[in-house]
Amino acid sequence: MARSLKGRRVSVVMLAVWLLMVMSSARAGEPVSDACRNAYRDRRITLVVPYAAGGGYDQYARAMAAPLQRVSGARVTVSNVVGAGGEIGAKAIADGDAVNPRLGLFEPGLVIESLKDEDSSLARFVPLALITTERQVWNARPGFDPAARRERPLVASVTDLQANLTEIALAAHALGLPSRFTGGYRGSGDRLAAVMRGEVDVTVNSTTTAIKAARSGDLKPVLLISDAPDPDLPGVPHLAGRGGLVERVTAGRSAGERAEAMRIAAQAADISRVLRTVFVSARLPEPARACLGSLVWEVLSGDEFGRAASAVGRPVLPEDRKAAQAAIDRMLDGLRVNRDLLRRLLHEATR
Amino acid sequence: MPLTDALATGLGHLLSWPGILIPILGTLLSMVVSFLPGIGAASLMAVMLVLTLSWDPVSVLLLFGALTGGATFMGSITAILFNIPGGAPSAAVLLDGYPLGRQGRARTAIACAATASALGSVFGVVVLVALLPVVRPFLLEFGPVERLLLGVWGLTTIVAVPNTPPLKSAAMAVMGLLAAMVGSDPATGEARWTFGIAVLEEGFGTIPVLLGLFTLAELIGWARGYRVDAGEALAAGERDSVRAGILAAFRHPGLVLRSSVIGTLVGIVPGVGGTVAGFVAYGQAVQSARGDRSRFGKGDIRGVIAPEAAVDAKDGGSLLPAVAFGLPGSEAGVMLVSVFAVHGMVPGVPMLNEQLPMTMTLILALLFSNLLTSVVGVLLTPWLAGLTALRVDRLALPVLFVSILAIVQVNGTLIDLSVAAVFGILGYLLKRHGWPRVPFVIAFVLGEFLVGNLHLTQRLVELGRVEPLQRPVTLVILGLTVTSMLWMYRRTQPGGPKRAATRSDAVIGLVCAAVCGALTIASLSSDGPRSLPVISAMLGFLLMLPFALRGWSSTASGPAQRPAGANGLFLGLLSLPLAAPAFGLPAALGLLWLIARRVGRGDAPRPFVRELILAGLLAIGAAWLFDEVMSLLLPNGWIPELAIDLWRR
Repeated sequence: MARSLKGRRVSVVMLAVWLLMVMSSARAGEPVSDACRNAYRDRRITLVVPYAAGGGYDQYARAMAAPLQRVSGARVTVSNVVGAGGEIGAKAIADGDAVNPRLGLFEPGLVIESLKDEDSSLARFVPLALITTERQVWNARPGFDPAARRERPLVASVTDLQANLTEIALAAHALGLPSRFTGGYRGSGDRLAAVMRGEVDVTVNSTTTAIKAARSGDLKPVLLISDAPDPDLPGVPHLAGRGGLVERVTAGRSAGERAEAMRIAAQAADISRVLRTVFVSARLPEPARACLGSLVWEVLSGDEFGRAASAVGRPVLPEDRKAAQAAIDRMLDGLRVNRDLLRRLLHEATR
Repeated sequence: MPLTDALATGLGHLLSWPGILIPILGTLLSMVVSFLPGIGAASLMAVMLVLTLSWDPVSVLLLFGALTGGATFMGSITAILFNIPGGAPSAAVLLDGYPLGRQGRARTAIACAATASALGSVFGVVVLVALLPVVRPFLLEFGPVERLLLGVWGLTTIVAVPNTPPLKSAAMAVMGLLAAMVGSDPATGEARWTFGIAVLEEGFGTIPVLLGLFTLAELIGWARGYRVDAGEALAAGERDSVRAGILAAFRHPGLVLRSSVIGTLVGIVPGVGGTVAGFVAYGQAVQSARGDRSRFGKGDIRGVIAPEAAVDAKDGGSLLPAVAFGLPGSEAGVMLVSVFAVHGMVPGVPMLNEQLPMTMTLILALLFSNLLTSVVGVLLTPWLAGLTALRVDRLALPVLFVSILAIVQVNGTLIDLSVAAVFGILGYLLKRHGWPRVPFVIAFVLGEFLVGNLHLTQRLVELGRVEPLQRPVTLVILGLTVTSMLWMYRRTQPGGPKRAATRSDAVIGLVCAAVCGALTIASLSSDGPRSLPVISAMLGFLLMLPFALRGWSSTASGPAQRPAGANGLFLGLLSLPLAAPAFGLPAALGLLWLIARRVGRGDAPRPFVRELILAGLLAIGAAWLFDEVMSLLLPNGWIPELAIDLWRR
């Protein structure tokens, strides 16, 4: 039976977007030297995914395995190491060595404790590349308007209470909305079901998940936590920047108030990006990291990985080591600057 | 499109040639994965998702329907034969299935399980198809409040466990709840009762706990009775036959129906799982049994029928959230939602209307897989049942090693081994001293589910987002729970022959009371949500204290002493949690082999060199298996790491 036209169109659009981005990407990583290409021949590289099999990172890892094996000559395997909120997997990655390295696929938020003053959890790792950067989206039932004045606080479903602070509480604060969290839902499916049942007003997901969830017609992306619109989400307002929702809702306020709201919105948009990153242990010497970085870059910017990821509906917009580190640093700076505000918002959200 | 037309189209897809080969292949693959630990079902589906990218949607649905059908029944075969549940959902079957196997009625047990599995599966699919027109509003009625009450209803089945004093059942149920609360608070994510051990933040895994409490406990019991049981060959009894097993399932139509209803309901509610279905169905089987209930836990065929029917009925229900809303309600659901997205299927209204034939294809492939597994299981029964004739002492080590593989394969961590070993010792002690394990397990399995939904319910009521008493489904489940408890109260027997409290009761009571006391203090001194943990811990303390006090003054010491002597398997099992981090798991397994084969043997020991060589080969084989087949990242062991560091210097 033929695939539905709609499904085929989505795949073609995603493939075209991916191809366009790869061709126009100015962030070309280091080319792979011959020495590097032979460095891991007949060795073993493990792609460690600190999440359960079948999820997004697992799919990326499996799409990476074959091309990485081809370019490196190493035997590449995928290993799902779950537990302790990702800490067991993170430790397995951090314990990797230069001989048979372990590359971790996760987002920095897995190990960062956003409200801790001194948090060196991420210092155990060095980013090699970004697979893609995704924005987060508020999902709600059709008819929900994030700009409308509300009598009651906005209620959001979250997995745990610190998980979505920036993309919900901070974003809502920029819009002048008090928010409350309902924590303890198990996974994005459960959170989305809570929205459908009317128990909560919104939940937040990555753009990819939001697009999939909207296909059933029961849910609708209502706010993109970004400073610019997304062509994959036509008609969905964005939070920050010119033409953003915060700019609109603060139109009647004083200049100072407006500037502050716009600043917070911009920070929320910046901090809440989903950085799908390939990491390696900081224990590895710099030459090994550079070599692995160039191998990973070759894979991520190659056709084989792009096609495999696109076929399972995963976007690919790779960026090299420097860009990955810069994105992470920007996120960490944003968390540092807004830490006190985030603590206050968490306290309010759990009242 | 009319339902009948969609059904006919789906049937056409299933029975087409060569299309029929796909669900057959999927079923066989799933059966092998279920039977052999080492490759998880989730990993298999993740791999197949990538390999089938270029397939047409019909073929993909035929394959994934068969994989989702999951050959759950295969896990029941290992439960019946070896007391190893092939998966958590199969754990309830071993309560009566394994004793039946040991009594020489393995053919009956396996054939009965296969038949109940098939009947439950048919029921689940019939309900699934019948509910399709109303599935969306129906599913939306099940929120945290309803799930909480379902969990409470499930807990009420604990009271029905026969031959145990209600106070002991209640005390063990509270201990099970407490065990389920170890880990992280579901709402805040803060650690609870981990005492600084980071790896415990995920809580005790279901598989390690179940394998420990039943399989390892049984192995320890075998090993300590080795000199008594060694050499006894079990012959097939006169009543043991495939025909008797098949007929047994049909002789209890009410039980099959009730269990299938429970399984289907559990499957529909996302996040509950087959383990809950199996144990709750078992509990209700005991609760509603007519006539003699004393055989439950000792080889009552009804104890096989109920969980088997429920677990397979669940499969149909678990498709509903994914099909109706694109929401994964289970691990398999995650894969299915990805499959839908990749191959252009749209969950929700489209899959229930214009894409209904595709939905039917998926459902029928699932049913086909379940039925095929049952048929293959019945055909293999005579050969499989012959395995029970193997000498117990020859089975013990292989069973232990397979259990260890099953344990480490879940999360790839060594902490699960320690958890299993601790619960293994606990399970052995509980069984030996007459404390029931089933209430503990039911409460443990339900515990996390209950605590999470309790938090959510409290929060939603606080925020004014739900009003429980105004929800019709809530009232129905509440009524069901109250009716169930009243019915049980009227039917509960006095608890079997009265047994005086013993010194061993005192020791167990004292230890548990001390643990509960420590947990109470830990809860009171924490900042996180603590009302339920504190109440549960205090309740546990209050329930255990009478046993500590009464038993202490008793003159009865407990079960008769076993013949004295060192016990290799027991010592080997005890050494594993220490040896594995020290030497690495492969080397620790080799050490376990040596200890088990050399210590406490009644007959003449084999040559040490030969045992050493076998231990070495086992260690090498295990290393290869963990590394090459299972892709586990187990630590090397701090002793080898230290040696390598010193060598490098």
